[in-house]
Amino acid sequence: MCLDADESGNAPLLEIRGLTKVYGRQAARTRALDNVFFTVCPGEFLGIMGPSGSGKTTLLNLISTIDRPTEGTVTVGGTDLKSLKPSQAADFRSRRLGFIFQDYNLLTTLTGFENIMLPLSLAGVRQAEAAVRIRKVAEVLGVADLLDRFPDQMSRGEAQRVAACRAVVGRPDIILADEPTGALDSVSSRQLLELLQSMRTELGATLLMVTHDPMAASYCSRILFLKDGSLYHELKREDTASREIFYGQIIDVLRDLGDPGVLKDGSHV
Amino acid sequence: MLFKLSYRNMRRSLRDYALYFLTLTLSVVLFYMFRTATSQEAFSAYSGNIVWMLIGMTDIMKILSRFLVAVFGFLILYANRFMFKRRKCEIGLYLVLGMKPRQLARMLALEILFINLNALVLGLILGTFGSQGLSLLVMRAFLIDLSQFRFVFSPQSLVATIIAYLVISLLVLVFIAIQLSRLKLIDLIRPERRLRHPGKLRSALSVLGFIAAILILAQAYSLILSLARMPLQIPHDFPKAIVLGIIGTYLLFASLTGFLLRLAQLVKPFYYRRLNYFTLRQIAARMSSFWLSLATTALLLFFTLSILSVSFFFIRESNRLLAPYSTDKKFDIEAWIAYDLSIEPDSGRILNKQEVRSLSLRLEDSYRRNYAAQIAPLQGDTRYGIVTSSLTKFYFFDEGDLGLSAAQGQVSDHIRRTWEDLKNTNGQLFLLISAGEAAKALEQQGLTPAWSDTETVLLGHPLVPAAHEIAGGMRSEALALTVKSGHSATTLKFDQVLVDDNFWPLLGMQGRLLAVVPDELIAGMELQQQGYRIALQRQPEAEADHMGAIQNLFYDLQEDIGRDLDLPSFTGMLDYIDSKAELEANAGVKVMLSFVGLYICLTFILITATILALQHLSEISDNRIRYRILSQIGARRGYLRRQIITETVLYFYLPLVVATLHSVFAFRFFSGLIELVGLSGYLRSTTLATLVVIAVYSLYFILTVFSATHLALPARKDEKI
Repeated sequence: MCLDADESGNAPLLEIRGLTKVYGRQAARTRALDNVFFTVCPGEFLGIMGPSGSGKTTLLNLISTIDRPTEGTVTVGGTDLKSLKPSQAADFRSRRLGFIFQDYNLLTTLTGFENIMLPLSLAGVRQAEAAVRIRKVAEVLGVADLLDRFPDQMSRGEAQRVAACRAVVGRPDIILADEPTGALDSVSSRQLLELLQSMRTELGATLLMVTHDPMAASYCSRILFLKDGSLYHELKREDTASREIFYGQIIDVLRDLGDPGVLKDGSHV
Repeated sequence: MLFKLSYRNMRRSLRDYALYFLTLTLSVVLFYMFRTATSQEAFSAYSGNIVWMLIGMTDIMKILSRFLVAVFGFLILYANRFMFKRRKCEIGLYLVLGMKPRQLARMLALEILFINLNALVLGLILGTFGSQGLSLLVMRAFLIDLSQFRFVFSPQSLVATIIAYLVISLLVLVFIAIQLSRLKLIDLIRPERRLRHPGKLRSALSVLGFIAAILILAQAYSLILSLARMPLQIPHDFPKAIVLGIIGTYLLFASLTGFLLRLAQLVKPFYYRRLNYFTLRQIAARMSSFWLSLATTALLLFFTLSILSVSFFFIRESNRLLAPYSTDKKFDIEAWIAYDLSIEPDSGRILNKQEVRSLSLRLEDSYRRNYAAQIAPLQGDTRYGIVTSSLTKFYFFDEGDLGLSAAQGQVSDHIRRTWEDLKNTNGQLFLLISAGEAAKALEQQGLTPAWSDTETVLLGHPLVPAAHEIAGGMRSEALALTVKSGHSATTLKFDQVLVDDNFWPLLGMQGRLLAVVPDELIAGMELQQQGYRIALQRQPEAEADHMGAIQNLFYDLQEDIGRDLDLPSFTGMLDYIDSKAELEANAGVKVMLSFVGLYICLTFILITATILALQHLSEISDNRIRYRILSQIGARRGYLRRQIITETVLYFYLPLVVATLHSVFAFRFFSGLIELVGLSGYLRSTTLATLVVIAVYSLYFILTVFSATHLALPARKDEKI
């Protein structure tokens, strides 16, 4: 493990130092993020949880280069994101990051295959190589039969699995998932989460997932809880602990956080 | 407060308003320009024959303008609807924040009125300049001396424009009120509409469709090209070519991108090169939902281009259309006086062969004498303005007495049809003249015949398309003409067929076919209808009031001859042609129609460009999400901008390319016809028309690209997704 990076010689993939984001001016200032520190190591599946307004989305926007921090740094694989010009940021997004969105955002005019190919094309990967990589990833993640279909011929769960494929196919340093199960029913949610896990185990991907569904979060290897823009708590899943136990621990933290959704209904493992 | 808000709104959404503003301004320019340049004020300084024609034009333009106000009104409402849709969120926000609908309506009305007022003022300024140019064009077209030009300003047109503007503004306000009353807050969260991919079946059919489209268009093109060589087939084949062209165009647009997509997919390295597949799919999806409107646009553009080219041609070339009638070698007045010698005029008794011959001789004698006494001496007489005159004797036939036959086999269908058409349009289409009489008439004008006394020759007027066809048939099929007269029939075989302007003293202005026949042959024929043509050439500056005097000369001549022969009712049929007046009127009508064409065409372009631009922009706006997705997964801004430009180029110029392709063939057709009657210069008119269309179109294109980029991509400074 790389938590204290230099000892193991395994550098962290994502390093967040003193990250602060302030919106508005003078009297109307809001600190969306306040002096946040954390790192993500290769192969981790990090969850970010917290109530609305806790700064989850701001954090994701800062990591994905679509917003700039007021203070502090974000480093991905040794690159300080502050130094990137807009066009470099675009290239950075296509080569180093993978995205999974709540509403999966597939292009409706392209087939599954072509949708998955987009980041590869943007990164300038040759067609022959791209095809091989797509087939392989699709095989591993079990979406091979969706490649020739158009998004409107897929169920929501299928569309989100294709979107997950698109996120991982470019071998990004880190995959950012923003409420990926938000639009899915519980069966599809589980299928997707298992797929995300196999992305990690089979393909060695590193994931960062923002969610407020404790069931989804229970698939993570580590969870950071945000409250009012600051880190509130960190929860690590022990290697021996089952998912159900981890789920219980998550619920406990959420209760302490005062998440009303959890208080009402804390037992939907 | 409201005023300040609307003013700031306007400055902020200038780009949204740009298209609306452009459309409104151009409408005002067109409306004012055409009304002013053809107004009576503009022509009050001119005198003479031309004025009644110009006044007629004023009336036409007035009626047309009323109709066009309705069209412009529709167009402006359409542009307004788009703008309203764009601002729905903003408007919804005002409502949510508690602005009363009444206040909101007042604010929007203020904005619209402000924009409209600006457009009106700018339009009137530009229109004033435009109408000077157009007025010069009118003067040139009607051969009015340009030194008579003065600044054109028409208070009437100004008032009409302002009234039209008020009506349209009122309409827009009513429209906004309706839209506001229908606005529901729930619309704010309306999900974005997305493009769908075309189905599999459709893309398979597209290959067949494309091939069919090419075949149909090829057929239409070849038909049109053949019509340029056989103009008399136009009534039969022209509608067919147009219908084929329309079907082909629709099929082409329905199948083109589907076909190209299939083709590209066969070449994998190309299809998957960079983001080609995204662009192709995107375009295919758009085309599959918009082929109908794109094909319609292409056809409208094509018709506009054609009408505009022809209009330009007639306006530019009107001098030359009139020129032949002001040169000194032509007679410009013809009186044909025809006599039927087979029946005795007073008793109705049928005359026998001998009596016909004797009547013919007496008529001839009397005619020569009376002409020599009454008309020949008038040369140089200022009362009539006559320069020269001539008398020529011809023989006529009834249509039923003429028959066409081929030396071998049948007369071809094409020639037969041409012949029938010619018969139907030209009463006495065929004349005979004796070789001696022909030689005399030519000699009088210092010309010599191109044939010997013993040859039978067919002459045709080069301005008559049918003459070329029949002449061609006579040569290629060795056609012969059978003429019946009295109890005898004679078959004429022609030693020479000449379609040539050099024999103008023989050929009438109306372009009949004329056979020059050896004297002995004539003597043997039992010719029962004979007549005389008295042709006059007037001084170019001859006054219009001479016309009555000249006509009276002919009436007197007819009566004198009747008295002379002691047969008072034997006066013959007088057919009087003032070719200059006739052709002036003819060209005038063409020029007048051309101005109407010009007006309608410019309006057409305005309509198509506006609708296209707005359609494209709503499409881009409704599909903004796809650019956002691409941007998120790492497409550079530059790439996205290129993508938008590519789509816009395609949307705008594909119909234009197809329309231009069509008009290349239409060009061959029209220029073929024009060359056939000995004119040229159509290329210049077509080029001008194409440039005008491209210019207006490109203006809209550039504005649309700006708006589309602005719509689909976030401003650069905050690279937000």
